Amino acid sequence: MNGNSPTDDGDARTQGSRGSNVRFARIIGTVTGILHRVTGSRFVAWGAFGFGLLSMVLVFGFASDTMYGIEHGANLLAYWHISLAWVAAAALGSTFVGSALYLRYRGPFWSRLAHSSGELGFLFATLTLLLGSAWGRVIWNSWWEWTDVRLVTFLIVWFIYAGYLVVYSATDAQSGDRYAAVYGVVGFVTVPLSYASTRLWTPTFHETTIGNSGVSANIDPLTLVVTLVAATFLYLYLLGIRIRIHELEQDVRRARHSRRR
Amino acid sequence: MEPLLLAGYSALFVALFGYVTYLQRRMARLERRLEDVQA
Repeated sequence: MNGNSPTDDGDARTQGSRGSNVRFARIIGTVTGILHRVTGSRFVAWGAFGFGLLSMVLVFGFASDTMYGIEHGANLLAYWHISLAWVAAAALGSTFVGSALYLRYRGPFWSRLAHSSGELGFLFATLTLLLGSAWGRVIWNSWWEWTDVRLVTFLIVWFIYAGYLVVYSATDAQSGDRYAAVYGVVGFVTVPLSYASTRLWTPTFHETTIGNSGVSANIDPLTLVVTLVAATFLYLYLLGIRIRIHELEQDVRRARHSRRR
Repeated sequence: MEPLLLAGYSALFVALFGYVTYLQRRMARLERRLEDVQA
């Protein structure tokens, strides 16, 4: 017997959970501050420009245009196609995280992060499809293949996030954020499914490249890493601007509202 | 240079540059509107 009554135990438990909530809220606040600083810094803008330029120099000056045994200049589209696909997945992952945190904590920052990343993820996914289609014309001799599981699942991702943007813009500010957040959480399931599709089902054209020593893609790792870094900086730079636009829209609404009063 | 390669990277550049310009203009317009409302 420790002598505590059930009421004391209950109070201690409530205080404990409140304490952990406060700690978690502080961590979230720190993460929000860091994200704000990173996306708004000049380093990110110059990083996107510098690495973008370096990527172009490597792609057009040094990378080999022979891939999968086929020599063709359009093979060089692969570097930005792959990088944009990965950054699209990261952006849509941010939409998932932002949506989940918005549903849990209701902070406007999470909703802005989710929508901004969703818009950028959609743009990057569109560019991935366009560049991939042009590259496919060279190595598969076809602009599009309905039998390829990666292509079809990635197109589903594209439609899902087109729907996400429609839901966000078609609903009002308060309830719309909530609907879009639920959509952002549920819709994300298609993203890892698309990336794992070549392992889950038999691929016809897209092969599993990571951890598959049998693939002869002949993609230069340095050029790919530099391009990936450039695309990541670009995403962070655009994310900073998009979040700032959301904040300014909110400020204008508030200023108008207080003026009317 | 291969026409497909040129078309691909041109489309990428136009899309990204166009989107950045659109965002910058929208941000500048909102900043002006905020100043007008606050004045």
